[in-house]
Amino acid sequence: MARIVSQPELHRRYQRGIQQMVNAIRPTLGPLARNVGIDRIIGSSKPEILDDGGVIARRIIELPQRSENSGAMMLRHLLWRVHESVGDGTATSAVIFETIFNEGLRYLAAGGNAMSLRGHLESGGEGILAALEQQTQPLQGAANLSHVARSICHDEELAAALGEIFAVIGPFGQIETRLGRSRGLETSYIDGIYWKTTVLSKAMLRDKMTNQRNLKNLAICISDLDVTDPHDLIPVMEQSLRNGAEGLVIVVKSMSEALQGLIVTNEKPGRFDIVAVKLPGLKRGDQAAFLDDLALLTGGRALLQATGDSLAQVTWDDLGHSRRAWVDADYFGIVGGEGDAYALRQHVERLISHYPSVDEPDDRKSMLARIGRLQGGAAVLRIGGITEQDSKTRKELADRTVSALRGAMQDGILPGGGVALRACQEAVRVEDVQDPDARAAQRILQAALEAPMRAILRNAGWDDSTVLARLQSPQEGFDVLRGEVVDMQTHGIFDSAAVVKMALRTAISGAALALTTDTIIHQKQAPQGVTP
Amino acid sequence: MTDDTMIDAVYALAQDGATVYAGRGSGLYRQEGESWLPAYETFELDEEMATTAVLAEQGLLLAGVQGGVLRSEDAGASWQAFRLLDPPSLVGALLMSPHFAEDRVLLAATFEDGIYYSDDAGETWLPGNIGLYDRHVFALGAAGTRFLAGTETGLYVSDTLGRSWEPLPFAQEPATILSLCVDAQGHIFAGTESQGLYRSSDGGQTWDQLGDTALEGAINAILDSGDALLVQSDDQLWRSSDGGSSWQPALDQGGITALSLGAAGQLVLGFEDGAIKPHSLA
Repeated sequence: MARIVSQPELHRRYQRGIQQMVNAIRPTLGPLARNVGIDRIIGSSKPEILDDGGVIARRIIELPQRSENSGAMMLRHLLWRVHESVGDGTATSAVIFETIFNEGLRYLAAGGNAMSLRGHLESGGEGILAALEQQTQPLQGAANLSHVARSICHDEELAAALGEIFAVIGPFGQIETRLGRSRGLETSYIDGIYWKTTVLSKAMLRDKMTNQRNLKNLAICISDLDVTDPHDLIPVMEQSLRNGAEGLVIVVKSMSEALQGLIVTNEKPGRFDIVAVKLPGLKRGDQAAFLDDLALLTGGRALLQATGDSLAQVTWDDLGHSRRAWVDADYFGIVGGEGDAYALRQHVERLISHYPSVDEPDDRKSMLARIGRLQGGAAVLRIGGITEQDSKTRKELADRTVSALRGAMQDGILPGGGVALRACQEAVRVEDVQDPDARAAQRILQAALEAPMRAILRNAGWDDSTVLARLQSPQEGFDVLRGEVVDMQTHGIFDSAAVVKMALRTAISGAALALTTDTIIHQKQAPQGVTP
Repeated sequence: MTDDTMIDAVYALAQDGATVYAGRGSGLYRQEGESWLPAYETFELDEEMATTAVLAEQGLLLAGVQGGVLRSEDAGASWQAFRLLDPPSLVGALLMSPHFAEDRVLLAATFEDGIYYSDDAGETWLPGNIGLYDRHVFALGAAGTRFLAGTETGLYVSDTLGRSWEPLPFAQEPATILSLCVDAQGHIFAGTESQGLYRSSDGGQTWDQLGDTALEGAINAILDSGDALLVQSDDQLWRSSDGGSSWQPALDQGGITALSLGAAGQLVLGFEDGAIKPHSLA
C-alpha cells in the first residue's frame, strides 16, 4: 500500500534529510577541514575516517525516515555526480544547495510561486556562470599547479609532486598512482605507450625473475582475429624473418593452445622473439580504438574479422613496426613505433578537439586515457605512508586531486576560498525588479554565493560574519591558514574553475528542482515485476 | 685519422675557448697547435667510434655517438660513457641549457629514439619524449627557458626543460627541420630539408620565409654571430647582414659538412675531404 506525502509536510521532511546529509559533508570544506568517521556496515572494525564529501555522501545509504531519506538521497545523487565528473567540489555544492533550499522554502512558505522561483534561480545561475567565466584564468607552470593542488588536497608534499608531474604531462597526460614501498612519494616517467593486456600464455614471458619480455626491431601483426590454424601463422613468421625483423608480436582476440605451444617451442629467443598478445579492452569501442591507434603508431594495418581478413593473407606492408616492445603480466607496451608521426599528431589533435563533446563519464575516461597514452609517456607516482591504510588514504586523496587538477588545467582556475563565488554576487543583482519571485531568487542566490566562504571560515574556527565584514573588495579573501585578509590570486590561493562551476550548476538546478517537488509517493515495498 | 688514404669526414665541430674539437668518422679529435690529437685514447676500442655531435662549453665536453653519449670534465683525458637504450640510435645534436649553471640541464637528440635529458650535468640521462610524436630528431635550440626540437615532420617546444614537448605550428607542415638557431633578439630561425629557411619573431607562432631562391638547398646549420647570420645550405656557406632579408655567398668553396662559431666570434669550418679550416667573418 502506497503512502502519499504532500506539502507542507514533505518540504519539512526533505529539509531535515538534506540537513543531515549536509551536516555530514560540511566539515570537509576548506584547508582546515575536519574528518568524518563512518561506522562499518559489516564487522566491528574501527570506523572509516573520511575527508572526501563525495565518498561520505556515497557511504550514507539510507536514513530511517522515508521522506527525509528521499531528500537526502536526491542530494546524495547530485553530489556523487559532481564527484564523478570533477573529483572535488561536493562540499561546496552541498552548502550552496542547502542555502538555496532553506531560503527557498522560507520564501515559498510566505506565498511564493515555486515554478516561477525555479525559473529565476536557473536563469540567475546562468548569469553567475558567465561571471565566473570572466574571472577564469589559464593554469600553467609547476608553481601554480602546485598551489591549486594544495588547495584541493592540503598535502604540501603531494601538491608539489602533482604540480611538477602535470607541468610535464599536460592536461591530457597519463598518470598512474600506485601504492609505494617507502614512506614518501616517488615520481618516475615511463617512455612509450602501453595498454592493459598481457601474453596469451605465461610461458611466453620466459624470464621468471622479471616476468617481462623485451623485444627490439620488431614487426607487429595487429588483429582482432581468433586464430586456430597453425598454417595461418607461417606466412606472418616468414614475412618477418625474410625482412630482417628481430621480433614479432601477434595481437589476436584468441589463439588455440596448440598454436600457443607452437610459438613457444619454435621461437629463437634473442634472435627471433615471438609473443602473442591478447587484444586489450572489453568493450568493442575500446578494442576498435586500440586497433586504430596501434596501426597508426606502427604504420601497420589492422586485420579485422568483420572484413574477412586472415593471417594467411598478411604481407610485409600489413605489419606494423617498432623499435622496442615489452610485455609483462599486466601490460603490453611499444616504444618508437614507426608509423607516420605527422598523421599521429593530427590524430591526437582531433581526439583532443572531440573530447569536450563527449558527455558520458565512462566514454570521457576512455577518451582521456587514449589521448594520454598516445602522447607517448606516462608519469607514475608511488605513494607511501606510515601504515598501509595511511598509504591507501593518501592514494585516494591523490586520485581525487589528479582529477580536479586535470579539470583546472583544461578549464582554468578561479580565486579560491569561496572568493570567486562571492565576487559573483553583483552578477545577480538587478535593480528595479518588480517580480517578487525574481527578487527572491536574487536574494537567495546572493546568500548561496556566500555560503562556501562562510563554511570554510567556520570550519577553521573563525566567526564568519566578523571576517566577512573585514573584506574590502570582491578580490579579497581570508587565508584561514595565516589568519589574515589577502588578495587570493597574488597569494596563490586558487580553485579549479571546472570544480566550482560544476558544484554551482549542480546545486542550483538540484535545489530548484527540489523546491518544486510537491508530493512524494512511498511504496510500501519496492514493486516487483511491475513496469513503472 | 687512422688511414691517410681514407677520407675521414667531419660531422661536427665545437669550440671551448681556444680549443677546437672535431667529431669525425673515426672518432673525436682535439686541436693542439697544428696537430689534431685523438680524444678517445683512454678507451680501448675495437673499432672506430664515429662522433656525430660535439658540445664543449663551461668546461664540459660531450660527444654523441651511435647508441650513447660520452662525457668528460677534463677535455677528453677521461670519459664517462652513457649507453642509450637498445637498439642503438645515432646522437645527432647536443644542447646545453642557457641556464646550465643553475639547472644543470643537457639534451641529446637521436635520429630514431627521440630526446634524452639530463638534469645533473650529464651524469644520468632519461628519455624525455612525452608529447614528442616524432622521434626522428635532427636539431635542438634554446630560446630563454624554452627548448626547441626540429624533427622529421615539424617543430616542437618544451617548457619543462626537455622532459615533455608540444608541437609548435610551422609555416608548412609537415616539414623536416634540420637546424635551429635563436639570435640575441629572440628571433627563432628554422632550417628545413627542402623548404628553405624560416624566421619567427613571436616565439614560433608565425613564420616568414627568408632568402627566396638563394637558400634552396637543405639548411643544415644556422649560426648567429651577432653581426651576421650564417647558414650552411647543402654544402655552401651563406651570410646575411640584415637579419636574413638578403643573402650573399660567404665562401667560394663548397664541400662544407660542419661549422662552429666560438664565443669570441671565430668561425671554424669542416669539409667533406676531412679538412678543418678557420674562416674570418671580417
